[in-house]
Amino acid sequence: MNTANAYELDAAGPFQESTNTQAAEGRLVAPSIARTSDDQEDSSLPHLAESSTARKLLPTAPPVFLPRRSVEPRTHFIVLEKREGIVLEIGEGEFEARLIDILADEPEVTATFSFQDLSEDGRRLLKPGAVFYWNVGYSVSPSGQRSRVADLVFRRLPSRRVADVAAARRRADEVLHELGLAP
Amino acid sequence: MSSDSPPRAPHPEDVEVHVFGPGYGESLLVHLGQNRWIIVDSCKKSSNASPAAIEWLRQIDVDPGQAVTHVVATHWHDDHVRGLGETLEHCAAATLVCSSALLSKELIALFEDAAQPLQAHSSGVDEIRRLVAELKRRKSNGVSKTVGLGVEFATANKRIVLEEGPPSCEVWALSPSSAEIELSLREFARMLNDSPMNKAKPVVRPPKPNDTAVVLWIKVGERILLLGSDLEERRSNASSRAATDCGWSAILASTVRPRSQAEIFKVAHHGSETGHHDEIWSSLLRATPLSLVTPFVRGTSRLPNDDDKARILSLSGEAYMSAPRRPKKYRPKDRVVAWAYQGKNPTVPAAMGHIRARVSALDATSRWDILLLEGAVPLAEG
Repeated sequence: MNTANAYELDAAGPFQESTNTQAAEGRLVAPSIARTSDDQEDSSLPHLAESSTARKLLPTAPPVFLPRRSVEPRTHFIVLEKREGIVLEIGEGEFEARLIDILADEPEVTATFSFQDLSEDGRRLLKPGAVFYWNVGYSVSPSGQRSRVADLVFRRLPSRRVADVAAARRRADEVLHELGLAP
Repeated sequence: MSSDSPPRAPHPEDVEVHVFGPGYGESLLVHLGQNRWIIVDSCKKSSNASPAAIEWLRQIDVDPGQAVTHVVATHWHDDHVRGLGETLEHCAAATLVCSSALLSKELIALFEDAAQPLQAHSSGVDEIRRLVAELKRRKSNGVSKTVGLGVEFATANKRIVLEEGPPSCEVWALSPSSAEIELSLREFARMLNDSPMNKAKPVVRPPKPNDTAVVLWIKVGERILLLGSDLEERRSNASSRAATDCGWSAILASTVRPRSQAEIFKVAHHGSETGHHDEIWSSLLRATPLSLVTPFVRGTSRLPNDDDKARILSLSGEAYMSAPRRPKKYRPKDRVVAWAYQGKNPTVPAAMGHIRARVSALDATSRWDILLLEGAVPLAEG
């Protein structure tokens, strides 16, 4: 679990949503809904604090006190290239992907990745059309030591529910109505 | 072949066909005479660039907001829609032409159910969403010029444009057939209904083959063009109905389509075998036409392949391709980034190429003037 991205609550007001700046000390964490490292890159996920799932889980999730946030230097990452990738084709032990530069306007690249570049979780998420982020740069340790890193993280898509499909149909009706194309 | 610098707008009596295409992507721009333009599909030089057709019009001092009368979305494959929403936004006076399947409840519901837009990639889903947003904006601002909203649904054997001249012009859709539209709607509904619940949302990808691609037949003065889009021909394993009522077979079987043969052909589906039908070349085209091809280069996929190229060359009088088929090796400048790409065979598509074919619309005997810009090449050399 990546605690840095865990859902944080203000100790002064249990089960009240708080901002990061308010939650500097004495934080409560609902571990059952903490984000995983794969969630970090998912811009499509609503913040958990705003989700109905989070609200339902909170009263039953046992609070855990975390120690005061450390001010010691931590490992950080210097990004040299960041690309959004789409899986095109999957072959034996490798897959082909199209990569678009997010930080600069470098040309679009097609590259072949080995399954060995993937975590177990990444292998589960691998399918044609799946989206991932590829970060290349340096990891800098607290002592200042640099190491080269190329990190591939798949975007997790939200779970699909029956209600989502019904809502999609309803919204499609609304769109057609707005456009004057409804039957 | 001639060179021409700086570029200038065509004479009002000229017909022009522009084919833009890097290794991955395709867009056409056609001058119908009298500063009337249509844009077919969209592609861009890079993520931050404007759509290629819009950039060219600005280069020759033509205002796309006034001069473009129609923007045609032939289908929603990623290599044909990059910048399509932006194109419609720039072309305020243009009618959107597309298959009714593209604005069907089934497809919109599928898109609504899909994951949120990506940061950098322009997918068919995102571009159609942007088209719909622009149509909504027009509707709410009351700027739609028709009872609907400035949308014309393309179906087989339907005339979309008829303008007086000189030169007069008319544009017909030769596809999709009603059978193709029905099959597509069924497929979209199946994709929406059959995706499993309580698992990650599916990634929405266009079905194959390209059933609802819009093929255009255009006549300007005395000149006739056939723009084949990505229409494919169904082969074995298809139901008998699909085999005869879909693809090029459906167009060839039509008794009500325009009968005149075209002299210039934007070859269908990047020149692939699946986009080929012998009778296209004997029934829809004059002998040895001028053929224009856009390649499809993505990783290990290359179209047209060597056999396709030989076939097109044997059937054409002249043939050109908007970009070479060979991708370039990607060589990052930073050594750490280069280290990360080691063993991954990184390639970049060829740069955006551009073919311009121009001729007088009123003189049936004059020859096409071909201008190859940027990476465009004769097909034999590509």
